[in-house]
Amino acid sequence: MKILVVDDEADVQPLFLQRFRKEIKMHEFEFDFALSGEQALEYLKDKHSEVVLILSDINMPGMSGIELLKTIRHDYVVPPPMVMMITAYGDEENHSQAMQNGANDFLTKPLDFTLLKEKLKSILG
Amino acid sequence: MKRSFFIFLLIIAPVLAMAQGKYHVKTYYEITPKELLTRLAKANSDTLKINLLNSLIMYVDNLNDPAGIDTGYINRIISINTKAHLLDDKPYTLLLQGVLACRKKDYASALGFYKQVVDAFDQQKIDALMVLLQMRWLFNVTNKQDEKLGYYTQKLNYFLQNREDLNAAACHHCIAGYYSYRSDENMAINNYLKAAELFKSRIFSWYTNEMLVVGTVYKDWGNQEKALYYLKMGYKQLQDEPTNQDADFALFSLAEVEYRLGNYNLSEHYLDTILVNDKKHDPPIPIDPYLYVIKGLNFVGLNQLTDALNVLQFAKKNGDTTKIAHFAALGRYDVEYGFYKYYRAVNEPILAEKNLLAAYHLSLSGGTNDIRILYLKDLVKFYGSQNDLAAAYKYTVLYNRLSDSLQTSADKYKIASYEIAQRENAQNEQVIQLQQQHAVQEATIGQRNIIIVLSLVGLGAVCVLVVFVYRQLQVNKKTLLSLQQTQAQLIQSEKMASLGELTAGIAHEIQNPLNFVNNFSEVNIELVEEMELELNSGDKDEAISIAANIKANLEKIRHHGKRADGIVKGMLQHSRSGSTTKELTDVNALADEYLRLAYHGLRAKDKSFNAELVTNFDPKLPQIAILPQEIGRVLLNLYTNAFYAIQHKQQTASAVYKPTVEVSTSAQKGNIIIKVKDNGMGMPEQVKEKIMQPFFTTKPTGQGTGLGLSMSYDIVVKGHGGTIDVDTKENQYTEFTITLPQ
Repeated sequence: MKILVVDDEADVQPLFLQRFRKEIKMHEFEFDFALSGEQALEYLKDKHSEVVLILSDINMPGMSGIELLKTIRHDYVVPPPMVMMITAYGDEENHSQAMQNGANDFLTKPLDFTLLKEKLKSILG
Repeated sequence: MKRSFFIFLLIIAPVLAMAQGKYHVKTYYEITPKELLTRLAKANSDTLKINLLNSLIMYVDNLNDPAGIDTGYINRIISINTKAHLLDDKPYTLLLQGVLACRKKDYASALGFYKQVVDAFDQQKIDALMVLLQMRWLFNVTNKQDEKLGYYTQKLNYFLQNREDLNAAACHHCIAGYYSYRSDENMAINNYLKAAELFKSRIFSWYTNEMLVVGTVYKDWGNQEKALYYLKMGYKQLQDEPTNQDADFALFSLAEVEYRLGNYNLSEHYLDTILVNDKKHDPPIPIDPYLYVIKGLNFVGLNQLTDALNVLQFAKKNGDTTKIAHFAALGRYDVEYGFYKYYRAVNEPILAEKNLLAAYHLSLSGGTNDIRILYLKDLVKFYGSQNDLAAAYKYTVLYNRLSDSLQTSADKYKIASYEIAQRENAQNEQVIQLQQQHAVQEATIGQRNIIIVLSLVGLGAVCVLVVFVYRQLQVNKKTLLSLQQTQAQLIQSEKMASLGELTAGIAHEIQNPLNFVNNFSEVNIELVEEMELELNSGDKDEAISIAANIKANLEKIRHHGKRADGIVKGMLQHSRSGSTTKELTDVNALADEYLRLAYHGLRAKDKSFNAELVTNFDPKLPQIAILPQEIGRVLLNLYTNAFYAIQHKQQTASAVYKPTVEVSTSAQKGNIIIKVKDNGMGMPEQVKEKIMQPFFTTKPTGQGTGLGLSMSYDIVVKGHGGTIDVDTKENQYTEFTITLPQ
């Protein structure tokens, strides 16, 4: 079960690896990371069939999370990976934009990892 | 037969359980045994009988060797209960075993039984105050001081959590006793006062008792003022009960304190009150020999020397016949010291010396340090007055040695820390009151808003006035100085206004690192737990690998902590008046930081606002010497204007419009160039001409000070020898270019 996490904060990577270390050890989940929307698209070019879920930040320099979402929904129809958007601003506009463009879920920072874990397990498990 | 017994159990057992659950044995702490027995004779209900018998067992006088407890009372409770099934009699059967063990002098077993008694009472929520206090004696007699501290501390925590206040108070009292024994007066007083607080609303006589104990601890510790305070407080509650032995105890301590303070008449007054009360006691309390020593000392102090001698001789005769202990909990029988004082007063140095030395030597075996200090002081004084310098020197050395170890000079400041904490509580209450008053003021916020609006209007008027004054000034240069002052104030207010714009952005910027700090800390807590598990199961390699993760996470925590720290520091710098020394600065980082702050600041106010931020930073840009917070202020100003422009355009533009702010840096011909471009409303020519003038603004009244760009101009041109240029096309774009020399 491969999950791609897109966030411009590099320390998100060790954080996810630590937070999910038990699940990773048990081979329940596998994580890959991209530091920008562009990098995420580059990654998906080769491996989109492996990725089951994308967790993306919205506010990133360059391509925003919403734009990434739009591109994914247009270019990768089969199989459509699940996309969850994360933002520090839990405002209506971001939420409706994310949902209109086909996000599967919308999370706000600070992330509640226990909740996220449950969501991932129910989606993937 | 068997079957019917089973049915009986089925029916009766739940009823019994209910009954046992409901009935809590009461202890009447403030009734004398005599009265308890009278009531017992008249009692007609089983519950009342049990309560009274329980109170008789728990009577205060049983505080020493439990062997003296009348097992008849315990047996009666057990037999009443066998018929009436009111409670689980386990605590009483255990107590019986404890008492019997004491009678066999098997104190170790007795202690074991007593611990079970406490737990058994606790299970039925019956308080075990007296049992806990009796146990103290068992700990002492088996010489288990440290175990005593451990036991009461553990029980205290449990009782406090379960709100069993009387038991908790007993634990505090016993812990205090331990510290007193260890000569840690601070901790002793702390615990006595905590016990007092818990007793206060429950058993008032015990509260009073704790006050008196605190007073005597202070007395022996050397803080006579504090001692006086607590003793008087305790005595006040007792003076209506002259037959109460505690009253005599209080009076005696008061007399001692007043003697030490040199108030001989007052001291005499207290002692005489005891002697009057004494006649009412049956049997009399063994206080007299101690009392007459102090009386003698008082008479010496009052220069009534014949009386002094009589009283001291009486004390000595009394003490010798009763073989009274020299140093006891009740007081000290230092009649030799009394004689010394007397012989000094009548100028008989040989007898004075003999008695003082005797007193000192007795104190070495049984007395406490504070007494020794007192005697040593007198020895030094005495030999000094006799010109026996060798002896005076000898005792000075001894005195200094002891005094150093006690730091007696700090007597005045010996206030137990718990008391200080209580004072703080009182202060906290004041603070809460003030907060409540504040809340009332908040309620009138509507009025305040009106005032604010009015003052804004007033401020607007002031601004207009300032413009007027400014024009006038060009004519009348004499008032130039006052204008400069006004301008300085306005610049400060512009700084504060832009700080306000920053605040929300800063909050957002701090949130990110704080999320990391929190997340990594939480992960580390889990990891440490895992590491413990691995270590316990002996998997050292796995534990080491977890430790490496923990370390890496701690580094992340520190990194993000510093990041947040840096942001806060930057904010503080922004509000401060600029420093005057230039620092080598990474302009890219500065431009990026303020761009984020400005953007998030605006987003926090208007969540629907969205803009594309494009940055083209020259990676080879050299660092240059600038005043970073000043240039930061300029950038912030340009960014805020840019966002304002695109925000305005967005309101009228079509959906295709993509608001964008572009920031670029480059190095050209020894200069650093920063460009800030927006695709907003642009400016007409006549506006463009005026934008650098002070107080010029296109924003609605009250929204801009009109000083942002003029201040920026000053900073860049006058402060850094650079230039600031603007290129604009109405409804298309605006681009500011800052050039800073390297």
